Amino acid sequence: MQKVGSEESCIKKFVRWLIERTGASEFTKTIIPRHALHPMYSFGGLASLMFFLLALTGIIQLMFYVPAFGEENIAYESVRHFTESVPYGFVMRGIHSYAATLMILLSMLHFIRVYFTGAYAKPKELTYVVGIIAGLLSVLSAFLGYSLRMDHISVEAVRIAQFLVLQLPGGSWLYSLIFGSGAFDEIIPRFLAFHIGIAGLLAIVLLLHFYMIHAHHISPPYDGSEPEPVIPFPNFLLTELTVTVVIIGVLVTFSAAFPPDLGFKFVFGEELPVGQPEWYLMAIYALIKTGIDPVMAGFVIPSIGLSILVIMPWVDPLYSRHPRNRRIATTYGLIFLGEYIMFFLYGQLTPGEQIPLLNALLLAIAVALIMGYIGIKLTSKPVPPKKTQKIQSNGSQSYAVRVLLKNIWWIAGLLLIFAIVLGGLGVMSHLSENYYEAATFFGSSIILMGWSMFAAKVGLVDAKYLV
Amino acid sequence: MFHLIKSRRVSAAEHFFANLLDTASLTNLKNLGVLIFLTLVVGVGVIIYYFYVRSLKPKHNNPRNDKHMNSRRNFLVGVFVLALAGIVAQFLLPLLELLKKGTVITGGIPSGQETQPKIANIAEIPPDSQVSFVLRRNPDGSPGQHPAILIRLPEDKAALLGKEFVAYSAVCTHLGCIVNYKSEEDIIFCPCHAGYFDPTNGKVISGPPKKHLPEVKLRIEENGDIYAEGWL
Repeated sequence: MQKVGSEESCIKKFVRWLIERTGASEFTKTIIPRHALHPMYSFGGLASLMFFLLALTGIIQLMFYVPAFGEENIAYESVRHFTESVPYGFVMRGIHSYAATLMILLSMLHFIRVYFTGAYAKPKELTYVVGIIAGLLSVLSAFLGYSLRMDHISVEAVRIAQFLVLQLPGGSWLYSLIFGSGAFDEIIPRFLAFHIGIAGLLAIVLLLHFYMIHAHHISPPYDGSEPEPVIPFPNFLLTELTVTVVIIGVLVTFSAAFPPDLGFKFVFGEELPVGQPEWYLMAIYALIKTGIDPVMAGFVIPSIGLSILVIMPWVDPLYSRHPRNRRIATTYGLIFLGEYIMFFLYGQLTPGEQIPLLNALLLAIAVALIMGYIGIKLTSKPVPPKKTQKIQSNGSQSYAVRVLLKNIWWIAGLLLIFAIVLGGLGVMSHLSENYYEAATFFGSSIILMGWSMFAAKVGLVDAKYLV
Repeated sequence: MFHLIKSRRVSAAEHFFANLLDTASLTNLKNLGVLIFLTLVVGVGVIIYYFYVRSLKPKHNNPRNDKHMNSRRNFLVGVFVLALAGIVAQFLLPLLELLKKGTVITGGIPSGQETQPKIANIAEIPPDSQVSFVLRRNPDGSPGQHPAILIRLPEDKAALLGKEFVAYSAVCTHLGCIVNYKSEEDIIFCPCHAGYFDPTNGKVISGPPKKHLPEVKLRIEENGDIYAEGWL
């Protein structure tokens, strides 16, 4: 008979009980394969981390944002007040603004990884489509969000949106649904509600996306080799935790050092510089600037380009998932990417100018030809599937790993001591109400604490798995 | 009693206790709160660590675990737990400060009246210049805030046209940017994509816009005040 409490610590028992009762024991059996440790597999996860941060900082900002225009642009004043006068307001707005940009950038990179490695292969077609819907919703939510600042950039964006909606068939009906009468006093509360509502919808769509990934498992390597499971349950989760902490620390320090920018206050009757849209809308804006029909440029052409991407899982024959074996998908993807980057650069380089239609057309054809040629050239020779390689280990650890494991305890301790000193400096600045300094100290302290957690984690749970 | 204490000379010990009381008093609640908070967060971490160490069995499953390794293991657990507690503290401290001290601005919200306000007086506008104003109705008749510009034409053009003051919608008919009167070139200019309009009748001279600018009906009182009456 076993002695009670002799085998496991009470903490371990509690954690085991918690995992079992929350129904998460299935997750503990997941073993992360080696190919998924490549950085390009982290984009999707990081984008969801950004979404989580956006929700948190957004709720805080909701308490201080005044959704009204009034006589003197109250919405802008409330944003400025939040950034300048509310303690740590600049950190909240900074994280919200930088995380939104990063989320869209990371989602795009995630899409590029999924598309070019053919991760949409059977049975993941709908996961891919749901992911594209999530990406579009996040761009829409970002657009509504940056319109809420009511600076010269936002007003420009709202005006262009109003114009585009009016051009649509049934536009005036749709216009009154979205913008009300079109006065800023009515637009701002509506945009706030749409911004939050679409973010909530995005959360549901993302949950569906995660569920489908969980049900179909992570995609195997695209080069045809067998997935090799390497990292068991708590180790990878702890790595993710420390990476999360470090990234939050970086964002805090970054927004303290570079507080988010706010454009010029928009007031009726004042001449303001022409605002440029955010970078992710620049390609479509450049298309509109060529002077072709706005509905064509703003809706029809982007939707045609996008819907070909959406139906690609059913068009692509997918004899092999290697990008060099999928002529249609790779060539089309390269052309789409080339056009997007070309129009983005063209729009970015010609602020406040009309783009001549002929130039745009010639450049678009040239980019299509060059990228198409590259795509066809790349896919001219099939790549055979790769043989599965297993890293052989005789069970003994290398000299470097042994030295690391021997010294990891003082590395972790030293990092923690540095972090505590920085945190103490932060508390001192905090008490003297020097919030910019305090946020910088706290941010750097959080980064160091994340690293010390990582070092401790390597020494604690990874020792067995390091060779 | 009170005056007795006050009349006495304050000793060093009494000074110390007075300072301690001052720290704990309501006026200095902030520092005390921060102190208690940090003690709590760090204390909870230390307590968790203590119980964890107490409940660890002397030998672990790891074959290389001797006594030396075991103490290092405990140290690493301590580092991990302390770092986690520090991170939580450094999130909560700013957040509590923000929620406690953050204020919301308030401001005048319009009553929603429909009367068209006075734009300006003739005497205020030199020839060959513009004044911006806002109309309460859009050109299609729906309520809104529509930016518009009032232009006092240069004398030669005014003599040719027969009127000195003209007013147009300031919303460019191309993509909705705000147009401006450029006195040096005698044109209405849209800075977004270089649209040019004729200031005498609002028609397009060149550029991407296709429709002309809607004109505003003006009423000039005898004392020189200019009012916008609506759209022509």
